[in-house]
Amino acid sequence: MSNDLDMSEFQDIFFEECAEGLDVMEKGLMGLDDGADSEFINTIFRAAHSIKGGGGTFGFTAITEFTHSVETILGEFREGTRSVTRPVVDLLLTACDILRHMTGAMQEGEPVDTNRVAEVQAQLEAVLAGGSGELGPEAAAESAPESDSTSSDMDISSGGESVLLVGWAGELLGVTEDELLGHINKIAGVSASEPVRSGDGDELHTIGIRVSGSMTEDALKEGLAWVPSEITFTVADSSPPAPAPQMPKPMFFTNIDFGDEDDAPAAKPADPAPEAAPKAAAPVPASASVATEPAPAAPAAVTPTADDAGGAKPPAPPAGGGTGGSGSGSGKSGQANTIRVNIEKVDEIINLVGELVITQSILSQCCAKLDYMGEELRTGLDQLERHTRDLQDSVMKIRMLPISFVFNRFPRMVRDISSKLGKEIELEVIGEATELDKTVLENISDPLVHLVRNSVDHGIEMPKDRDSVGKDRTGRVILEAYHEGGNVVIQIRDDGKGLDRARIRAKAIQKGLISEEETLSDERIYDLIFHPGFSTADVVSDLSGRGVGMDVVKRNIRDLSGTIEVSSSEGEGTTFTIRLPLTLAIIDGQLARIGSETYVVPVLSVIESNQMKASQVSSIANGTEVYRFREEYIPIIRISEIFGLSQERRSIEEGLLIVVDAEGMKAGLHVDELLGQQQVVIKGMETNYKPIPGISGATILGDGRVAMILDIAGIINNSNWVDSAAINKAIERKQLQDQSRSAA
Amino acid sequence: MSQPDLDEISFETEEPQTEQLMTFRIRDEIYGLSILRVQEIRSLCPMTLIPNSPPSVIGMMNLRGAIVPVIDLCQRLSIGESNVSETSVIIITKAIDLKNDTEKTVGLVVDQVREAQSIFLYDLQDAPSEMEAKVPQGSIQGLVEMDSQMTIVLNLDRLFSENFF
Repeated sequence: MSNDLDMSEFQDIFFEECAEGLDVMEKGLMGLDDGADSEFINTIFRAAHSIKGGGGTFGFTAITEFTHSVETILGEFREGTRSVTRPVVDLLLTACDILRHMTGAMQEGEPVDTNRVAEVQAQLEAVLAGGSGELGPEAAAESAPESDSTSSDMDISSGGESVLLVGWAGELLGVTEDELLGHINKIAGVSASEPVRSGDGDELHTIGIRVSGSMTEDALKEGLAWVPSEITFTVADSSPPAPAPQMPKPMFFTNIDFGDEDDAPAAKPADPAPEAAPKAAAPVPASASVATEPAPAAPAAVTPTADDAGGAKPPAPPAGGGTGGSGSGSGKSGQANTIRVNIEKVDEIINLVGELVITQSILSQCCAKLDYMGEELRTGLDQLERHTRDLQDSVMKIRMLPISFVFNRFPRMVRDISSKLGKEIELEVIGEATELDKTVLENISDPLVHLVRNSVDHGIEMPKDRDSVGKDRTGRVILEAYHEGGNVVIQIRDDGKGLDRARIRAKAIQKGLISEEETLSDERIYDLIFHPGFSTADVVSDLSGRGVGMDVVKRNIRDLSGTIEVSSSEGEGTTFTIRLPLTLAIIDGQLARIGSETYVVPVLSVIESNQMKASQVSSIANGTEVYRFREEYIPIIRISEIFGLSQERRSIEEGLLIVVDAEGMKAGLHVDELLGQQQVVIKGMETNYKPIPGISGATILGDGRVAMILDIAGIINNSNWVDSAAINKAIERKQLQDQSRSAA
Repeated sequence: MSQPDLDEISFETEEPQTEQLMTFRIRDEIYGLSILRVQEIRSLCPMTLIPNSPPSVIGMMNLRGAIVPVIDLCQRLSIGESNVSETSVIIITKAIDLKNDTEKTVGLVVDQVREAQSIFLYDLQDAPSEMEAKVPQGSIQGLVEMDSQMTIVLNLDRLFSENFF
């Protein structure tokens, strides 16, 4: 029974690796559009090869068979026997989709759409058949993909390298696989190793090792004479047929980057190896040196593979990148140090650290009350505080991921949509290494897809339209992410036709959102596109323009405590700017007392705090008050009244006004007293209760009491509390008064 | 190695179905709650008001770092306001939010905790309709007589099913 469980756990890892591999393939294939770089092709090939190998190991023959055809085509690309053409690349991209569908369906235990699979497989085979016909007898003889890949591996490595098979039966005695590899490395530089067969119990284990420099079996046996286990060595030459029967190919050298061998001069063949191999082997636990080995320790899943780096750290160039021995050596050490951990475990740690921070501040407060505090206690407490803060920072960083996880899908998407629409569009991605919280990252993906689609679909014009207005035929969409203060800013810019003010206005009047007389600033007009059911697209396409979306985009972003703004100039393009918090878990809070309760105001939305004079405040309709703040009037919101904390209205001069800003709207929050500022860990109200209007969450203060965190945007936009229509009218009237007064 | 079906076994042996109750007092009445739903019992502690919440919701408490709503059971059952006394405690319970199908932790303020007791489920009688009309629908599972005192057995999930979560 336990075996079954373990197996499914491995399968999950396989599926995860498949997903990563597919991402790598897709990214690589996209890169082929710009010219067939051999390193790109190698990367894609390796990814496909890994998927195929893994599929074989876990008995997913459908995946293996399907990937086989893909791999064969890629193999031909790699050898240059087939030229890289767009139709074939398109087909391979479709094949990626099919593989994604297959692995997804298998993981969920759902049926695979076999018709589609067969259809695409037939197309792949048709391409293959056509291809080998052109290529003549030599290539046709090689059309078996296994010999293809192996022989090309060997060709690359012809610089005095050989393949060594190391085998033993049962458990290794007195030595771990890594140590063994290390020793072999000392005798002859190991540049790559891969398990060929890892059996259970008494079965035969075999590792294939690629060594640089020539060697004999005797030399090896001599060097490893002290190893107690019965270990057999077979030196296989660079000729593939000899080891072939012993080595099931899908497992062999799937993950190894050959870029370094390419660059290593044959004169000093041992050079790249000592650099690469110890780094790859040393920092990882024994069983982890081999990625696809289904050993019991694998769930800890340290995966020091080239594919993994491609998947987990997409901003890195295709692994190794042919940047020379040292470059790929350091790349490998980076890969070896990644660890796959369930996010729940991380969240548990984050929660615990949150508690620790609270406990620490309770302790500090207790001690601050002591009449006498010894020097040692004081230093101890100071250190505790520093360490807990550092710990908190480090732990929060675990959840941070580069935004490339989301950005990576766009090149493909833009390519697909633009070819469907017959547009020429270039997508530029900037700042893809910008990090943000995993939860934010996951939830920002859909809004971004929507915005990019919008830019491609509505923003960029058809090439002939661009020609006629004297623009470059190729439209540009720029996706940029960067840090600004405590925020991550994501911008989607296009150089398309821009938003059509007149049409948006007409549409809004037609929908009854605004009246015909109303004059609105550009900002306000552009903001209308975020209204539910608002779309000015003449043709409803299957891509966008269905009138749902922009409001959802705005809501999703608001749910992440973020904001979205749009700016546009007609004929020149549109820019959407999204601002997101770095993390959802911790904010800087300004504590304020309202009645007997303490509330937290997010510092990010505070502009300033003021003592008010009655002369600065004017009452308008329905008891609403406005405050003259700098050059404008802003509504005053008495928190104690909207929260039902007190019935009678007290003089405005008692207490303070915190001027806050959310989504470009300002308001003054009337509170009784300002308390300190501190970082607070946000806890959701929904965990044990339900969302409360005006409250974005709760936290636990230093004294152990619960405090509510104010949802500034929610309060300002709540029409029960802020009658913005009445306030706007009153403000306009007041401004007119002011103007006439100053004129007089 | 499949697990034996417990329901089936108890059916075969015709063992009467029992339930362990945690009983407590509100005013002069005795109430009971399945003990499996009770996590712990805490003394009263400072609580933070939840803006614009119904009067039966007293506030939020800090339960070892978790933020837990506390309700005045007396008011939830429309008996009146509870008289906080020395014996008042908070029973921390695990309720199922039927709307979202998630488990939530809720504190119930009661006047006094009594004991744990076993009852036979077939001893449960239906509550009189005028009693049921006053409380959230379905929140009284039934009445059972214990030591010549009537105990009102509550259905925790139903108690919160009407506009609480």
